Amino acid sequence: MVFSSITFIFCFLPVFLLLYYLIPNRRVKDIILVVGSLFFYAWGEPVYVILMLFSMGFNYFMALDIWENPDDRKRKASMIFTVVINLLILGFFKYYGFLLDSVAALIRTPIAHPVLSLPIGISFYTFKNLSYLLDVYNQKVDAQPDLLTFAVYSTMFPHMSAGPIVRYADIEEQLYQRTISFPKLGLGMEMFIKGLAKKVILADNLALIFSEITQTDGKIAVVTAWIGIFAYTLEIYLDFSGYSDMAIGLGKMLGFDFKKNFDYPYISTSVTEFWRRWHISLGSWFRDYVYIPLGGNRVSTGKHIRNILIVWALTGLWHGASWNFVLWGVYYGILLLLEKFILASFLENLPGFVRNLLTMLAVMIGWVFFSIPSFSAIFRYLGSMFGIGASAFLNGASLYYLRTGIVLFIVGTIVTRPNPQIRFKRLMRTKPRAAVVLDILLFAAAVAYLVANSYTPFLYQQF
Amino acid sequence: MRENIIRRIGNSLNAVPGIITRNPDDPGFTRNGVIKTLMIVFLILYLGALYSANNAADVSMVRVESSMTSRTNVGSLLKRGRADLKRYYSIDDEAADGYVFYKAISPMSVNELLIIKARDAAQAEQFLASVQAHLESQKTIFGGYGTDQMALLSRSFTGSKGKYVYYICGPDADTWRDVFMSLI
Repeated sequence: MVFSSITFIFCFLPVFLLLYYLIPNRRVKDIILVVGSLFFYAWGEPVYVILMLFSMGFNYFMALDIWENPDDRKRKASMIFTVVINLLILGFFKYYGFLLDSVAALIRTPIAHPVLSLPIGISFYTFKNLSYLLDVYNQKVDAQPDLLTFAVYSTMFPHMSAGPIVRYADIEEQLYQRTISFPKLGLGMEMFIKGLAKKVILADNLALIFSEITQTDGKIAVVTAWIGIFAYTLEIYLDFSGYSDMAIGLGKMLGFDFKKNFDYPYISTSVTEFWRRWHISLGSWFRDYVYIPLGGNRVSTGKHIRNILIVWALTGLWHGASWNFVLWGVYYGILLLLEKFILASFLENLPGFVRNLLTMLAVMIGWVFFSIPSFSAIFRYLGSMFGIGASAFLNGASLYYLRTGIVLFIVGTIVTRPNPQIRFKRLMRTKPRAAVVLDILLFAAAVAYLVANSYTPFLYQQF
Repeated sequence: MRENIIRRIGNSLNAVPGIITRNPDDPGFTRNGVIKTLMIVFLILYLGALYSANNAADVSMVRVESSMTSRTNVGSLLKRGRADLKRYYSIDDEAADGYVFYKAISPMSVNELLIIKARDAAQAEQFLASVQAHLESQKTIFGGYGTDQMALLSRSFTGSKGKYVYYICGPDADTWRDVFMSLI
């Protein structure tokens, strides 16, 4: 089930919230939350509920095993064993086919293997569980002795399928004591509606433009190529941040406060800043559990460069079992190294809007690597953007896409900036009724789009 | 007796790092080792079952087509090409690793067989979504007046095995499916 579906909005969510709010006892609320989350997950892929339950049970048990063991050597062995099993499960579903296909391409002999569909959210819940285990091992948090409480953390549906990667330490207290109130429910609904509107009104329509352009037979014009990647740039932000808003909003409805996952990344004036604002929970995960344990920047320059490249290759690979994602990760690793070691002083002297433009140019080129799986198609598209192999600079198709997409581009661009949110918060304070009316209108428009359009999953659910 | 068996299993696993994390003479600690072992055994069985359920032999689409036409009556339908694949399923034939597509000549007939081979798992999922969308579209078209067609559509098959995705609809859909499954 996805958040942006009629079934979720009008069937699952009302029934679930009614039960959750009517029952006063926290333990029973927890049971409803776990059962509801498993039902939500099983709706699309019943066979993988077993995997999710196993992952929850295994990590619960192993965390206790690590926590209770007085022998450091054995604790470490237990931690390594647990991390390896988690990564093997992730690898089996996500990277096994990719590895065999890569070997087959190298030896130029096909290797037959079964094709398993990827369990939804496996990368997110594996990383969430790993953060918990590593925090228990490093004695940053206590192991959770109560299976039901751990199940709430491990299976909670708002952030189960596409993040944010919520750390146990961040919601440990809320697992026992959380504020469930109507004002918070209202705030959660407001965030949910905002995310839903971003996804179905803007992102899904922008997706049509990009998909039409990339599926065009033959050459495309320079302007068309830029329109296409601009549409994708807006789409991926609105899709993923829309999902995160919905997840955080649902969390609020249930009494939880999750940290934000996006902080207006497209206003960044450097690539470093962009990654501090984009998919914050994943960036901080790699920083805390890979980059810092490798030595971070407190090592020789050579090792520092190695650490950055390792982290970014892994970040790329995390997104998908395909070489274009690795290329995308390494591209960012190199950009960050250039920014840190060579271009820092030059960039500092440029005006803010020029730095923002340069950052966005780098980000948009990055999205070409990210969005197109085949290397030849990537370089053909990049070539078209810079006039190599393009049919023309501007043609009828460019004008058509510009004319049909202009409203989406303007509204999409405005939404990527903080101003609309600041103004909306002001409206909520000064004219709350007007804010409610605006929310209702947004919701009605989003539902109208949902009814009219076909099913479109979230981009990040595939990871 | 039971304690002894558990302890013996625990002691025998003591050599595996991480499996037994504490003193094997302590029954509680030995129990942890047994639980861990059972969990790993369960995981292996579960993954093994998923693996074998999704495993498909790598059969060329030429062989699939020749077997389907020689062993079933699917040849009575009209063989379709890339334009129809794009039209009915929005699938670009160049993206796929091969396909067999037969569809009745009459637009009032729902008899149809599509077997398409994807290049990877992600593509197989996309193809599956396309065939499911096609089935829904057929139900929308014939819903309300095409009683016979709706009966066939409700008994049709959509699914995937390995890299193969299929949509099978017709009075002999069961036979067509069985023959195809026996090939892979």
